[in-house]
Amino acid sequence: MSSTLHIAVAQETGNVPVTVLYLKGSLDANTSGELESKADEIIGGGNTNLLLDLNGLDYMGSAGLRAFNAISHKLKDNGSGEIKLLNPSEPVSKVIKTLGFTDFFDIQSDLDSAVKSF
Amino acid sequence: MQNINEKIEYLRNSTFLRAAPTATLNRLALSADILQLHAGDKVFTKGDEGKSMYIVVDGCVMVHDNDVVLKHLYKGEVFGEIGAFAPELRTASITAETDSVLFQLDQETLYDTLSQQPEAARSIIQALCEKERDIVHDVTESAVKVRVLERDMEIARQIQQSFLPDTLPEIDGWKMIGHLQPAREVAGDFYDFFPMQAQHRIGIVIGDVCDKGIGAALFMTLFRSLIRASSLTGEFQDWQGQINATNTIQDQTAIQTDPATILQHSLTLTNRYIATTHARSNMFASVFFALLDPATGELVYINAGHEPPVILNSKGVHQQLEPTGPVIGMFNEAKHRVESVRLMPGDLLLGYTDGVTEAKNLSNELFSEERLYTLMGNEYGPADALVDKILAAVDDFTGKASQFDDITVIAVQRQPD
Repeated sequence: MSSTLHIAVAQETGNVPVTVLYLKGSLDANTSGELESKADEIIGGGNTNLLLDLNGLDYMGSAGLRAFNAISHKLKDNGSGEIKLLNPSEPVSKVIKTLGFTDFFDIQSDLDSAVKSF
Repeated sequence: MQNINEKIEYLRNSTFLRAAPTATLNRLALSADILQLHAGDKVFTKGDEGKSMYIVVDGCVMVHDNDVVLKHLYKGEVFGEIGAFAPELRTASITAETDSVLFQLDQETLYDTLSQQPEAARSIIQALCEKERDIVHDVTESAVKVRVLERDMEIARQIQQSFLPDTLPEIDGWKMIGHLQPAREVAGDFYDFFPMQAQHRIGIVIGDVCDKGIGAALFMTLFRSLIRASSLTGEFQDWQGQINATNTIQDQTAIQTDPATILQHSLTLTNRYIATTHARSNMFASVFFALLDPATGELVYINAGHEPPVILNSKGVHQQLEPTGPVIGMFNEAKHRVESVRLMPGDLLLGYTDGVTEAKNLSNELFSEERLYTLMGNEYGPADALVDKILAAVDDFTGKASQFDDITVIAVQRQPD
């Protein structure tokens, strides 16, 4: 019954370089650590503009939002960069809305304009 | 080290061959290959076919299974003997931790030596027995550690339980139920019912701290205590007021009796305290906090990012108390609207955590809001019967699947006139 998360990474360039993380599967208490590690690795490599594509997630628990916050805090500590969310799937959108994160995260719906927004 | 005597000494110092006669060591020394490794070089990978045994001559190698490091091996230690003596695939991977030197003895040389020199066989059998004894020791030690951890977890569960109310308020015309079924590993659900004498109201809380495990359980105790303590400030002022009977304190008490102010004050204080003092932990909780006036049925509430509690009446689900602001503990500047409803005679308020709707069965399906709403849409009867019905339905649904999250349900019912 263990859940899985797949993360594919792509590099895009708008006004600045943007790293897009395509998340697929389940982002929950079991898998959110994998997202944090991947983000750490990317931020450590000097890429600090992160766009998280949430369209492939069929489940996200509160641990997922906790991971977004942790990444956001790391970027603040880092002094540069930003995290934005892209195209959340319907169940993910519902969780984001219920927990009230819509006002505190930039949620984009189109890849091109999201990349250019950084 | 190319010198044969030096090689023999290295073999003699290894755990496997310390009892072997010099003739055996001499023979092995002549056929041993020397491997020079750089840090990070892989010797073999779990699942590879294994036909050699290795002795660490210098440096350090790690035994691992993907990212999990099982052991480090240093000078004189032996590995790969399982693959060398039995037709088994490698049971773990070996990678050089530092620059290292190894002796490699292949299967053919080992068998050849053993068949010709019984002393060598004796030495190796002895070493294998010693290794087995160490493994038994390690396994026993791990089993003891697991038992200690399980006991600690049980204590954590009991402590967490003690942060729930011992007794629920008993008020004429009202029935209140709270049930928290903890997950196997502790998690961060909580509920609370507490009387607020000065305001003639009952505080009702249901909450869920993000994520799971000990971290969530620790924060559950903090959220619950801050919410209760900050909303009872008026109580203590009232108590002091009786002693001091000063106008100033009476005035403060008067301010604190407004339910909307109490809710705002309590959740703002809790939110800012955790968002600033514990910012690094990135912990937050969804909380539904209501103050009920049992005399009138007025329920003043803030829903901070929690699954909407529902009000049921004879027609089924009558109203959902949607979030009036974000979760608490995360965003310092978060604002919450206060809303108010009235529970009429016969109405039932039901609050739950996502442990109910997101309970999973063995096919990984969620219990879902739809199933919960179907249960509530039918004749729901008394509060305790409905709570039992929901818990039984979740239990039936999950079957043999282990409970992944805490399951919490609260119910507040105004008895029909």
